[in-house]
Amino acid sequence: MQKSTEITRIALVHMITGFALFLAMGLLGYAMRLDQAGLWNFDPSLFYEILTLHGAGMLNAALIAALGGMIEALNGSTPLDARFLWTAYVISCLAFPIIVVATMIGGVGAGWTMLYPLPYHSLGEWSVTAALAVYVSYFLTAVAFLIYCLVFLTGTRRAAGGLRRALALDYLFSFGCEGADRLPSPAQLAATAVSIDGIGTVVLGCIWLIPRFLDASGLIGPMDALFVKGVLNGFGHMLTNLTMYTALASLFAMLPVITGRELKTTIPIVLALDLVILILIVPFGHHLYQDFAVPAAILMVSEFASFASTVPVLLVAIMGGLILIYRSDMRWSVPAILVALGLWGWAFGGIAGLMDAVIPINQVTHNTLWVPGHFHTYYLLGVLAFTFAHMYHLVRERSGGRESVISRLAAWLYGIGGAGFVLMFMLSGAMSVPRRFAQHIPAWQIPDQISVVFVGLISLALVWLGIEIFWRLASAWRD
Amino acid sequence: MSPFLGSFLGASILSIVSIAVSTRLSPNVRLKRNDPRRDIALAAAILVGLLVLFSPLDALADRFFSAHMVVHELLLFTMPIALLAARPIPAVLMTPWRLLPSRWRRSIAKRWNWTRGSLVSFAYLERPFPALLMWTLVLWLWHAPRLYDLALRNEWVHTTEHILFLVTSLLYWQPLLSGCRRGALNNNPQRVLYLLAGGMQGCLLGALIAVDNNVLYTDYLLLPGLSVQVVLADQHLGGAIMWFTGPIFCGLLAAVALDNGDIRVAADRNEAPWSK
Repeated sequence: MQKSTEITRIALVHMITGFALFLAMGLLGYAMRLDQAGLWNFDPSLFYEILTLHGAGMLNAALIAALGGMIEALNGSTPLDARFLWTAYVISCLAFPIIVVATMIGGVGAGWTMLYPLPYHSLGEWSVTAALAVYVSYFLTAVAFLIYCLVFLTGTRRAAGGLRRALALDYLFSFGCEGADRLPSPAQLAATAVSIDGIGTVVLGCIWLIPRFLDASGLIGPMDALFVKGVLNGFGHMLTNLTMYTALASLFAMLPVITGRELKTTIPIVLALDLVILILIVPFGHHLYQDFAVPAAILMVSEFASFASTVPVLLVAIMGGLILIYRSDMRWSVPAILVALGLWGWAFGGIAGLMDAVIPINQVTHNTLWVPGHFHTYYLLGVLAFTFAHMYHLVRERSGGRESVISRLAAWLYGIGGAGFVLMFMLSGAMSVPRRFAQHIPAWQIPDQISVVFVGLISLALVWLGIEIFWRLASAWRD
Repeated sequence: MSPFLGSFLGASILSIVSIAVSTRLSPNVRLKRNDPRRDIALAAAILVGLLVLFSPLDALADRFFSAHMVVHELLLFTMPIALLAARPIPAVLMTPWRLLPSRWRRSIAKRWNWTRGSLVSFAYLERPFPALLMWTLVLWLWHAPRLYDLALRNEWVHTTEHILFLVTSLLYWQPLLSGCRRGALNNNPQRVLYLLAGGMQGCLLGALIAVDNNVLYTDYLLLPGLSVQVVLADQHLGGAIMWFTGPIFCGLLAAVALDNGDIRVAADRNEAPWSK
């Protein structure tokens, strides 16, 4: 099956959109860090509006970019319906202005999680309509994600000749004796696993969102706050984690390119990616450690499931990636640097998350800046590093240009800036600095001020890489 | 069931019908003359017209901004899509024209200089960018408080407003659903941009109305039994209807109006390397 030009263009559009949104949301993040560092003071209400937009927008940006990577990784091996991919893209993009208006004009500053009694009880800070708009935006994102999942699942099933083959279950349970001749590629396996969990995630999202709509319309009474929190965390946790596993497809696409070695589907890879389907569902309970009403058994299961969730990452991304890179004569091109940074980010962010999932540690780090440190590492130096590597490679390959020394320096700068930025978050977390605070007292501001410098480095790197990609985009778009 | 809820449900069902019958439309496919879906689309368009003109929704629209916005959404989305799927306009216009003796037709054509050259300006308006611009301008101008209040006071102005909504909407949707006509959008990225631009402008207008804490359309305050709070809540609801229905329609229309592209051919050509 040949690669389709239209599918490549769809992938490019997704990745470029994700990159542009990431830049815009990153600038908002920069503004927040400047405010916390005491270098640019603005109204706390505005801070919380920006915080809400930054959180929700960045999630959207990373998801769109990662989906673009997956689309391109599947191109040529899996039949994908271009019409529905475009449709999902339109819906995703329309979700974005809704949230911009709801936060920046409507004044919603409830954080992207909007936990009870927010967002409907805002003490006059924003209207119910504006709060509802944020939910509508999430709903559209969920609908778009459902369409992507259905397109991927239909494609991988069709390519492999059934779901069982798409998950390589025969191969797995016969320990490699059966079905070795018709194995799906690692990217197809990841797409199938993400799609199956993605459909469940959207169902969970509907369980959360539809009653919230009914609540706003007055058709039902207020919902149980703990139930809402549990379902919300289930949905949010799954969506963010699925974004990470979607980005795996970009890693799988880039590893053979940068190492010159073929990435084969092996038993550990099949095991790890099939396990993702089960492992991803359980650990969301680690967001509920502080809720005394949650049964202890659920919390303990969540803790062990959190440990288990590191297995696929370790087996597939880190071990698999390093094995392929080891003695491969890899050249330090921009994609190679970004992939190496991504592997480091996943390992480092994973360890930080694992620590936070330990109940006694969570008693100290919960709701401190440790948590943003963990997920910023995963996203900035994981999901986005892999996706940008893929995007840069795709644009360069199609445009036929050569990369400059400055571009390689920019890629390293992205890594240095990113590492410094997330380390300052973690240092603040270790100092028990609370998260989601607009104003920081002077004793907390030293890491904030250092992190401002590192965010500046990230911005410089991204602006350079962005200009280069923009410059080459027209020739990359052509056949 | 309240008349508003009933009308809203009716409007939703009709919208779904109009989109459902259009699902086989794509930029390169036109429904054949005897296709039953054209009749269904025409019936949906007529029902929307009846709903707008004679149902309780019409009475409610005079009193409540939110009901008025439902009418606008029907005129901006459902009715033009149904009409474009049904394509009754050429038949309706051409039948009486063809009944005229050929001598008369030639004479009229000559008198009005009804040639291709004189239709250039109209053809220009059918092109995507002018159509989008006009749709946006008409929508935003008529929602300016002064003009909107004027339309509430004067039935003729109101009718003009609705006719303009329908005409510009037909022009807007035409490049997406017009088959192989000149001015149709040529590829999916263009269509996606067009849908996004159309969806976002309506979305933004609705949002600005929905989050404004002042009564924008003050004529509603003159109606008996409506307090400032009720009018404001109604304005927020109306804004929200406008805000949210645009993206939903554009999303649905994306599924309709986009072409499958070359992957359909690629998929048929080959399943997968290992399945051979």
